[in-house]
Amino acid sequence: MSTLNLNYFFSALLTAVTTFVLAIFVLSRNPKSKVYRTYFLYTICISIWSIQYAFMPVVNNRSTAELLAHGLHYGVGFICVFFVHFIFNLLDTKKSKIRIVMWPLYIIACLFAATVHTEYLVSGVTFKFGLKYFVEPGPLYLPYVSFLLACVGYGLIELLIGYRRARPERRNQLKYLFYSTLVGYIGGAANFALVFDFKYPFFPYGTYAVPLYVAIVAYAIIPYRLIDIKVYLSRAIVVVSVFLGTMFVALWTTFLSKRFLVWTIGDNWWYAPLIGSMVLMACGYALSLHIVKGMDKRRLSKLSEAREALEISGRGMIEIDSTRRLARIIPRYLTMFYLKKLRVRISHATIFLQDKETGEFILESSAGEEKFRKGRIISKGHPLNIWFTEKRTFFLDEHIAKRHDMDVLKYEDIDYWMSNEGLLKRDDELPFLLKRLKKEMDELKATVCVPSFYKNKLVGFLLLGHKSHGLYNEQELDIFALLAASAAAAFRGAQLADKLRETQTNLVASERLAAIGRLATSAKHEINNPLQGIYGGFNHALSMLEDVKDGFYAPRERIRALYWQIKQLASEWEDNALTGKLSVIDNLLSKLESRSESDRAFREQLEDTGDEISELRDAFEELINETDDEDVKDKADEIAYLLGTVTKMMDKIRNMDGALTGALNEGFESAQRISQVIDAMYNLPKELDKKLGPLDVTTLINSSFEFVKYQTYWENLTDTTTIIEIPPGLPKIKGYTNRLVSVFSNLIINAYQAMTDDGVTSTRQRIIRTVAEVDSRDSSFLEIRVSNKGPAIPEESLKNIFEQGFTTKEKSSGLGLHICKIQVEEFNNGAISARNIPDFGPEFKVRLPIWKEGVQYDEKTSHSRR
Amino acid sequence: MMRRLLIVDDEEMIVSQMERMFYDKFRVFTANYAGQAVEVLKDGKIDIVILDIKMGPFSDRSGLKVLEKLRENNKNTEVIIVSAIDDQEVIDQAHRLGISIYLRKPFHPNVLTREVEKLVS
Repeated sequence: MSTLNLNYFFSALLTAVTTFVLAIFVLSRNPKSKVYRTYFLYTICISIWSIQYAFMPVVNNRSTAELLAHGLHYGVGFICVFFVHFIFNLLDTKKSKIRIVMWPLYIIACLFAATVHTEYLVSGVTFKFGLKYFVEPGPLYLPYVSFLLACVGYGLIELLIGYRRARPERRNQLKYLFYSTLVGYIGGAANFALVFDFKYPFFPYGTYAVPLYVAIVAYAIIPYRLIDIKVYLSRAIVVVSVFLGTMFVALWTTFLSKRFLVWTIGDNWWYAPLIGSMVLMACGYALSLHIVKGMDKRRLSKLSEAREALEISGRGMIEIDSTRRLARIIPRYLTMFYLKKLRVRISHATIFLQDKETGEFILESSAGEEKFRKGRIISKGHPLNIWFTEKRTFFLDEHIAKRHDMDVLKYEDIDYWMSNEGLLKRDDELPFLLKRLKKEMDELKATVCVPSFYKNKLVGFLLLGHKSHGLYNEQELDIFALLAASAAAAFRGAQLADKLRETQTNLVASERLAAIGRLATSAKHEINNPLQGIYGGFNHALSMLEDVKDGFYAPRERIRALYWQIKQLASEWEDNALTGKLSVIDNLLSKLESRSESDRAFREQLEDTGDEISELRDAFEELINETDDEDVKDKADEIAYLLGTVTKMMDKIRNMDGALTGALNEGFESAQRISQVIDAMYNLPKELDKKLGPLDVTTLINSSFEFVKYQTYWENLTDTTTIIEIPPGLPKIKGYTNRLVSVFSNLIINAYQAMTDDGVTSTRQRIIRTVAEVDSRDSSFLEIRVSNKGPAIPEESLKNIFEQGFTTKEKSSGLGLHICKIQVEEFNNGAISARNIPDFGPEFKVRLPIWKEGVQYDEKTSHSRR
Repeated sequence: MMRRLLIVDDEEMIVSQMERMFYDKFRVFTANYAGQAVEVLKDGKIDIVILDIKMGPFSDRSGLKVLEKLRENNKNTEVIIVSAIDDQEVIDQAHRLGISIYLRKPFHPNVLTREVEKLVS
């Protein structure tokens, strides 16, 4: 056999063996899949063609060669038609279109098949281009070849259209298919050129393209649980090169040593090259294994570095105690990691975390060129949720898939499950769910979805978009699964830490109000009791003074009434020595009356005496005018003055009760004032508001100022100009009174302290301005801005001013503004921010929702519900 | 027979002031703590009770307990609450048990005198 014939034989044989093996292999993966079935038929036809094609040029007699030349065209005829059908199935083309196109193609192919054993198609065999026997075309050969090429061309066009419509990672798959088909068909179909007596440039190596093509197609359609195509190709190249190398060495050695072998061994000379070839092939196989092992080692070491890096990161995640930070870090880290370490871009990495209360999954963060915006929600009924919570367990329980396979959901897996009819029959819901799942993964542009479980509960998802080149391989998916597991634990820890912080801050926030309330209640009680004592005491004193003034008239009358009651009782009681002694009360009454009389007489005398003294004083004053004697004048003047003093003292004695009454009334009124102050101070929030209500802004601000006044003691805002600009008719806001009062009073005190800390003492310079108005950008919100004249807050501080623990004061806990933020944002569904007003000072802005009539508000979350 | 009035308050000064206000019109009894009040009320001869609520430390509400005890056996005794407590819950509870009026301290003594006179007439 010539080298050319040997080459031809070998290339076709390789094709036949490879295609046959691959056909069986692929079908065995999933016999029920349409794609795999059409691939099988397609490849088997290639095998039928190539095995006959292999032997055709090398058989010893013409009739066998002709038989083979006719027979191989059975395979050829259907190769291209099965190719089109295969492409249709791969691209999920509509059944109607498949029927419309394929029926005619199959009919035409059958018609041509009917002519295979006639001279119309293959007229015979002949020597061509060094090949002993080659096909001689009949009159139908050209239309036959045109039909085949048209099928191939149509298939490639469909492939191109499918590529344009496909998702990015699918595009990779189709791209491989397209180019390898081109190469395969150019290589394979080049043999038709030989039929028409045209020697193609790369003759006779064209056929080698076919097994390579078939292998690539097999790789492209089997789900990517296998290794990366680069690795696959490089392995294949190594194996083929070594194989070819050994083949070449074997052939060349045989060629060179044939004469020597014939001379030494004789007729059975061919045993030597046969054994030699087998030995060489074994060595070649060992060599290729060794090379592949070395390549794998290098590749894996790179991957294991990456894996180690990811593992370390995974462990490090536990240290992060904030859910938000953790959620932000992971996608960014993954996209950067891939870019820096593996030089691959991922279109996006996105994390969804479960909201414990609603059970929904909320998009926490996304990174990458095609990242998503926050706020997206995966509901409880979303296919992804159902898949991971219900169907995954179903698959594992029913032993449909291994645990490892279910760690991560890949987009192409869905196609795989969808083509598995046996599986679909086991669960009625599955077909519909898989369709929805595919649609949702499309919408989320997700190639891979890695669930994160903590103690068998789903806590979140990590979605990954497509890679810029290559596909996610087994090792990478393992790493993601590992990352997801670490992340779940880390998230749980972070969530607990978040919850703890929130609880602590809430406790502090609530405790402050509660503490004030407790203090108020207790203080009020302790103050009001003694106040009652003061009232009672003063009242009693006043009443006694009245009694004294009118000579104990009222007590006397009362005693008389009591005496009458006693006498009544005594009269019913006969023969009692004691009752006779009751007349002592008569004596008392007489004494009181006489005392009263004498007091009255005394007062009258005092009155008269007083008048007499006044008249005497007037007389002495007259004397001053009447006499010229200086000595007399002086003495008279002196006496008049002294008598005037006596008169005053008399007046004092006469009006003693009036003075006493006045003094007691003053005391009484002071007690009343204390009571009012206590009321005003402590009638402010005593308990936490439980009701969410419409609040009037003016009342809110005024209450806040009132609250502040009593907190700042002597330095209450009296030296400060407070400007309040609240337009009339401003809509009411939705919120909790006490919480908002505590917020605004906090802001006012801060403003005040900022001005006094500064050393600014002049009244003109202390200004606190409060403005309220509807938000110009969103009329469902109201803005209340509190600003003070003073130094601006440094820009760096403005960023962190609401953070827990941030403070610029020595003895401050740094919780004040943080609590304000919580009160506004968490409880009142608003927003708080700070800025500096140029040429004035710092301003704090609180945005609060406007109360809507007719809307029922969910008090717990403060969101509206209709 | 003179009507009987019981004054219950832990503040001695307040008790003596009230006593001064009514001693000439009523037979006045006094108590400084709940147990004492319950003892006095046992024989059921008291016509009017002037009752404080908080007679102990912290959140003591022993006055309400006295009222409860009183109402178990006697629906007719008139009760006037005098207390510095402003808690609506406490006020409601007192009304539920049956009182004539709840006077919040501090109040003008004439107010108490008027209320007692109303009850007597």
